[in-house]
Amino acid sequence: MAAKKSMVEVEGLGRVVKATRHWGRRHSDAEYTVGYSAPYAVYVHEDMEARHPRGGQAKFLEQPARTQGNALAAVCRQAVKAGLPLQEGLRLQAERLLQMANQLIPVDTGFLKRSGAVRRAR
Amino acid sequence: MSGPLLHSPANILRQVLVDLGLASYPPAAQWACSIDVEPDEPEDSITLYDTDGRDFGRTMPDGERQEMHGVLIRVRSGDGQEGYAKARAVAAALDSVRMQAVTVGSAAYLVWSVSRTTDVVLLVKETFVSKRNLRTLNCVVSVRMAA
Repeated sequence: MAAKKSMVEVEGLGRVVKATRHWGRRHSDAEYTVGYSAPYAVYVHEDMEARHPRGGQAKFLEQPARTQGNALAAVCRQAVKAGLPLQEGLRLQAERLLQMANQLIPVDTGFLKRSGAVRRAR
Repeated sequence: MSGPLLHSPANILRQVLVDLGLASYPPAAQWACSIDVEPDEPEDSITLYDTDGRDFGRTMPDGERQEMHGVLIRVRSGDGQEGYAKARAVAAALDSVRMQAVTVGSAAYLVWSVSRTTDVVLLVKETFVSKRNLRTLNCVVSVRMAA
């Protein structure tokens, strides 16, 4: 197999990445956590064989986080473009992820869904 | 990175675990390793599931798509400490996988790397009756068919 240049070796890209990270740190040090506090949330999230008669699936948080990265980034990008601070864009991005997860979450009593929240980590 | 695969990433990772001596093909008395469906026996078993992976777009020089495939590893055990030890052993072994050649059936693969996305996660007991211990760990796998 032919050797490939890793992306960081492409000239100039390293400087762009460094400048972007520096800009991000200067404008926001916010970090948000999206999660569910119900005690059985992890069990439901990790049980790939459970059947949910009322709909829903396992990996209700992981799946949108992995597959909707571009859409989530667009939420933050559009917020910043509209003039909102970066941390507000990040918060909106986290809220959007929670919305996506809530569409996939199994519902029985609704307690698990209601336990979902976005919290500022720092 | 992946291209065509004749077996699912969970199936390929199972072979990696068997080659590393951490699991056996069913039927086995202990640590039988299944795919997609967790059997009721044996009590101490490992089950692998395919999950969503990560897409890193395409490389500029040749347009090859870069992706890693998600796998969930579920370890069930009668004894909690034994189950944790097995799950940690699996985690540590996966951390060391690098350019490992494996053969599944008649197909040869190259597992470039396995990146864990979680530590060993403790779930509640299996059911109120069996009370077997359940632990999971998640990873993404970079794999392609060997030339």
